[in-house]
Amino acid sequence: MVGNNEGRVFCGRKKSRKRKPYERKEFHERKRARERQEFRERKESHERQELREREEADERKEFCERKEFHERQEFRERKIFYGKKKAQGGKTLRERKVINGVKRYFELLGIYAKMDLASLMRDRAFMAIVITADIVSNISSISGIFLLAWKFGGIGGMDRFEVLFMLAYGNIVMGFLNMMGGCNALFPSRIIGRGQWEHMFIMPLPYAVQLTVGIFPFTGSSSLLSGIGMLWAAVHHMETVLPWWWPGMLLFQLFISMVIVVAASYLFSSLAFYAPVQCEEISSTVIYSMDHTRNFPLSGMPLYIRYPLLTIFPAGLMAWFPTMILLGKTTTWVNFYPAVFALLISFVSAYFFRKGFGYYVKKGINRYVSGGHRS
Amino acid sequence: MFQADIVREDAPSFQGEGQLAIKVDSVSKSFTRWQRKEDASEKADRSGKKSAVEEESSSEKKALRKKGILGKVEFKSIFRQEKKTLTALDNVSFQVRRGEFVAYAGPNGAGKSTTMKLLSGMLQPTTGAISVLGMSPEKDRIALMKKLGVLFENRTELWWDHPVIQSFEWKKVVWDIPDAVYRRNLDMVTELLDIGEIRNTFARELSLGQRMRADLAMMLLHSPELILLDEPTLGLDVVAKRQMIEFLKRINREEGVTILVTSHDMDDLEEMAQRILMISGGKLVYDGSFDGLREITGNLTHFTVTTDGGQPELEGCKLLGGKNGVFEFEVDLSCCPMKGLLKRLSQADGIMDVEIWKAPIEQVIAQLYREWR
Repeated sequence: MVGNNEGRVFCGRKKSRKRKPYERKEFHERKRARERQEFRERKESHERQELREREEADERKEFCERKEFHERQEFRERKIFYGKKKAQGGKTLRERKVINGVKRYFELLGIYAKMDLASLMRDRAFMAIVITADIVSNISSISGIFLLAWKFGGIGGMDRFEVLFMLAYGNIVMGFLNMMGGCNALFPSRIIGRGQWEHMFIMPLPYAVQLTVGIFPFTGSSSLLSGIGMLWAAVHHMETVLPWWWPGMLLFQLFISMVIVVAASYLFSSLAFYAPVQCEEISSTVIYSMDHTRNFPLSGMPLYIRYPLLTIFPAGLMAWFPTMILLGKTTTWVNFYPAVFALLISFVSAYFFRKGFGYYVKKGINRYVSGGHRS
Repeated sequence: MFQADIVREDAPSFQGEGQLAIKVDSVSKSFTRWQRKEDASEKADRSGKKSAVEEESSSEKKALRKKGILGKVEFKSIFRQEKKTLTALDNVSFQVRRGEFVAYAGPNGAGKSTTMKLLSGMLQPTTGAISVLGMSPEKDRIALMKKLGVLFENRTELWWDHPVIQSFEWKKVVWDIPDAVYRRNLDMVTELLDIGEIRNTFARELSLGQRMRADLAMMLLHSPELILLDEPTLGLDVVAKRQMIEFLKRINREEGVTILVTSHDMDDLEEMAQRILMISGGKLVYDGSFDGLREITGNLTHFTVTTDGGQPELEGCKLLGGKNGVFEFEVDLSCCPMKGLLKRLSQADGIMDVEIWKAPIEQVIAQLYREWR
């Protein structure tokens, strides 16, 4: 081993062995091959880079062109929308949008009505039983008050047919809301508590439309039908001569009463955004309590009972007070009270509902649960 | 090790807005939750760290508990409840290009469903911005929903008390799907998902697999450009699962539909997706390929050795089990390269056969989950 320099270190570098000619050739070939390979790779990498840059430039260009196109399109539509320019068919875009919107709304009402009819027509015997049971239960729920009025010739300054009118009025209010609120639209706390609101998030419709198109005209109209029948009977038997504008006034008062009921329901339902489980049934509790209380004629009641029922718990505005207005038993300035109250409670409930909704989507606990759409 | 956002290696520097299906930018999401307060001793009991004094007192506590005296202390906790803020997502950022099939995985409670809900507009982020198909889920909800398909594990969009076809017709009206598109898509999903027989069955009467297929079919009726699937294969049998996976791959490949899917079945995810995003504790911890994920956990490889009876001694390899001359080993190729492994195998006595394969992705992920805990 003496004299063998292999493995010895010279100034930190290992002394290289002198290569033989065939090894030198091999070494140079390998070197050239490596250089060729490196060159090829560099070239490919450079080409890839160039390609990517070209693609990106194309993407940018395409994006800018599309953006520009959309901006032009939007500008043109806005111009048409504000009526400066007529679109095809001789209608402005706004007119077309309104017409399409109305058409779509009726299409949506139609599909829900169709589904309601399909569920009812599954079995004719079932259909007959459902309708009969509904009508009987609606009439029996108000018959107690009417029989008392019949026995004593009226209650609290209202004669027996005026009492019947009041009962019919209340039935129409609740009957219409039940029919239109087929998908729990009247009870939003149920929608929130049962995790149904999440199904609404993923539907391409405004919430207001979703809440008003769930119509159940065949299974949910018994109360409305019985109410209309009773109203006709009451008006027919009353001796009062009604002015020509009275039907319009009736419709207006019905609308106001419905707004109050819906607003009260939404006001209390806003609590469900903060406590979905605990408040799931809060709206139904409020509405059913009002529904039970609205059957009592408040004429002749002491003020400390009457006033709370016209303000903090507005069951009196569901039937009794509008009946007094429609029968001409109130003073003129008082006639505006239900409309003013409806406006106020609508604003208050809209404010709190939006606030609760904001909390729910920002901080609240999501309750998207199984079960799909339910009525 | 993984607690930093890992950017995709092949992600181009410029992401044209038009090419992006999803853009999540520094999104955080917090919830508030009511929680019962725990006293210090209860906390210590749970954590298993007891001081000498507490050790002493715990025996006394047990005696008191037996007598029913300590019940009062526990009763107090009912009246001591506190509101806690829970961070479901913490500064999460990622992008998904159009036409991609991306898996979104993470342990239970990691924030997967929260992300899905944020993308579908069911929730709003506490901070950060989300753009889906170039739109804001909050501001452009209606326009976005016409292009988005959402399917959450056991949630159904079918009408429970109506035949499936009725739900499809309802969707046609609500989504305002043109007749031609509706008919084409209905024919396509009926054929591909094999729902011809269940179209007229009531949704409540369908089995889970049938219902999932019907839900998937319904989701595709409006030709969505982006599909968000939260555990779509949960509870499905092998046949139904295969059918769903094949279908999703096909619509991604042929229709160019972007798909973001979450699942706990990692083998399914690996089969479906080209890229995986992993989330843990509300933070994005991995964004890349499945192979890249394997490399992170040490490039584990399994191999089976068939011998004439004796157990081979292989240095650097972990024996997982063996019976009747067949032994299964695990090796980390980042520590022990393949060349070395083959050399060792060739030198071992009595080896008749060798079979090498990659470690199942399930095992890789399980190892990661354990590390994150």
